[in-house]
Amino acid sequence: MDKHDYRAPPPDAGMASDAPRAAHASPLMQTWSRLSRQLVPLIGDNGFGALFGRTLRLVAPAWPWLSVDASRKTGAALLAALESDLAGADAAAARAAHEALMGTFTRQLGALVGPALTARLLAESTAGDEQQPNQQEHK
Amino acid sequence: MSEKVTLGKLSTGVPGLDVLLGGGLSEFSFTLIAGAPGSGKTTLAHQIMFALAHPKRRALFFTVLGEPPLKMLRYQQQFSFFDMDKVGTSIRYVNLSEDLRAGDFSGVLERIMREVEDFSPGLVFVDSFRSVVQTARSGNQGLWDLQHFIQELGSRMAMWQATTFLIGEYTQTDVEANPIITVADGMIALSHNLHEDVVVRKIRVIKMRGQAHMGGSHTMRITDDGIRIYPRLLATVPGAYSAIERDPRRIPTGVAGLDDLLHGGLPQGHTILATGPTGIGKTILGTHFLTAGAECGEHGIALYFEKHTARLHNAALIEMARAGKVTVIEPRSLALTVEEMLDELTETIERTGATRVVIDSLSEIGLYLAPEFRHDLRLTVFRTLALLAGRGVSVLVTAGFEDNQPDMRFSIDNLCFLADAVLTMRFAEIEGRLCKFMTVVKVRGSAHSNELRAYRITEAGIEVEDHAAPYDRMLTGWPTPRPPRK
Repeated sequence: MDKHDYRAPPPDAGMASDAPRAAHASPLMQTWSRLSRQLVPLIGDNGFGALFGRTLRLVAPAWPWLSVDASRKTGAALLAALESDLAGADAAAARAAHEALMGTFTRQLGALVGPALTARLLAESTAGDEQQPNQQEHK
Repeated sequence: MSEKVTLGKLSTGVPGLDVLLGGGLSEFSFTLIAGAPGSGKTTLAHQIMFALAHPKRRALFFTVLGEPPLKMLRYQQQFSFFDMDKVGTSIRYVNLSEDLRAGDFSGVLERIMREVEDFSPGLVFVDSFRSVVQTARSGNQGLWDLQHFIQELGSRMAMWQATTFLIGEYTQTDVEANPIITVADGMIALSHNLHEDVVVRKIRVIKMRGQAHMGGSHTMRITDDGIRIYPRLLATVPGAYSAIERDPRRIPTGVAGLDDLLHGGLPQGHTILATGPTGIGKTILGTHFLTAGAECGEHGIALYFEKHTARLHNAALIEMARAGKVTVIEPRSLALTVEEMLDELTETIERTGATRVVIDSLSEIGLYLAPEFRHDLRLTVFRTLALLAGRGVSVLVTAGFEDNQPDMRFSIDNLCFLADAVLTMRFAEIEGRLCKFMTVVKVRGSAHSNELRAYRITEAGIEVEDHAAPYDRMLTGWPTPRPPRK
């Protein structure tokens, strides 16, 4: 897929009903936190923020409830907003948006440093993804 | 038994650098790599890091405010030394920009120490060091902070037994003038100055404590394999001064009459310089030399500085090239360094197993060379012939010059002193015709004919008379018939 050609479900899909709101966002955010911990020491908070901001801009048109605010520069501010957005969406839409964001972020990084180095850099932060659903089941 | 500490030497993995450093890099040393933007500092640091880093000697690479880390990774992985498998396991990158912005040097130092304690590296790199320096407060306090920072960093890294590099965007003058830099054990300066529209990269080891390094500036190149340095040294010739070759094997030159003048051919491994004016047959002689080699099963190399169209008419050469018996090297750069040329020659000799080389011609080579090499053509030729002698290949080099009779000269720029054998080819006006003749001026370590012999260029090649030309004063250009002996 090209860096600009992301397509997703209808824009009005996925707004959450009232409850339970935040539960499904937490495990998704763990992946982003690990990714941030992995990459910020390497590329700096500014670098991470710029890459995530670009990713958000590419993905957000398909998910209008993802908030894009140019004044958010730091990784912490961007991820806090994402957590709030994911919590506000229903679980399936949140997961789909999360995967779209993660896929685009990975491709953006890959376009800069190549897929092999990207895989190596992200290996640690994405290693836990497969276990996430099971971990939830144990809760 | 000596109780002096022995300095462990690390092989840097940069071809030529260990020679400049006096045998390698001292373990636990603190070295500044300085140079203007684009001079190759980060590449040099990466090449050293990837050569030295392994699971038992890990490397920490701190990026500060210089090249963005993502871009650095993007570009550095283009080099063949960038081993992806080492990233993360043996090599860790850490960005310090936040720490530097947030606080003073002590904050940066503490962050570096935390990372060092966590990763236990044997190698530490800080890139770019100048961006650290630029945050120094002005005045004496800032200077003191900075000096303290560098001293602390140097001593703490030494205590951690980490070999440390600071990479900084300094010019050579900055480096030598800055008292702060005296803290460093070693200083390596890179430069790429413009001279007559041509840039030749240079490297200089300004200091390296505890070891006898090579001084002066040395040429370096950046290729797909990274940096390669060319110390100002001649290649060693195996067996030189330890064996005497009393009766060297003779090889045919491809011109029977010339072999006769040489008393049986050119001694194998010799360099013969063929000189003469335009149209005298030097290039044809070169083709014969390669043909004779091909007929004996020897691979040949034709290093040609003639413009390409000239070669289109050389059917014999084209056929040999097509048959894989001769490899033609035709430089295209008009800013050629002698090192680039010698690299290609060496690589081709090793790849093809060539034992004969023709260089045609030394009078055109200057048109291709970067100014500093062009201005000292004799040194360029000397280095080229020394390399070929070291490889034991037999060489025919040509050099053209305008006839200036009756002056008796045998080459341009005193190049004839650099060759083992010299053949001069000249014109003379005889009975209304421009006739050609040749004579062997010298052959080192071997007797040879001193006759001046007329020759013709025919369909069969160069046909040399089997006796001395019956004229006197031939070298004046206006010979006179020799009276019969009484």
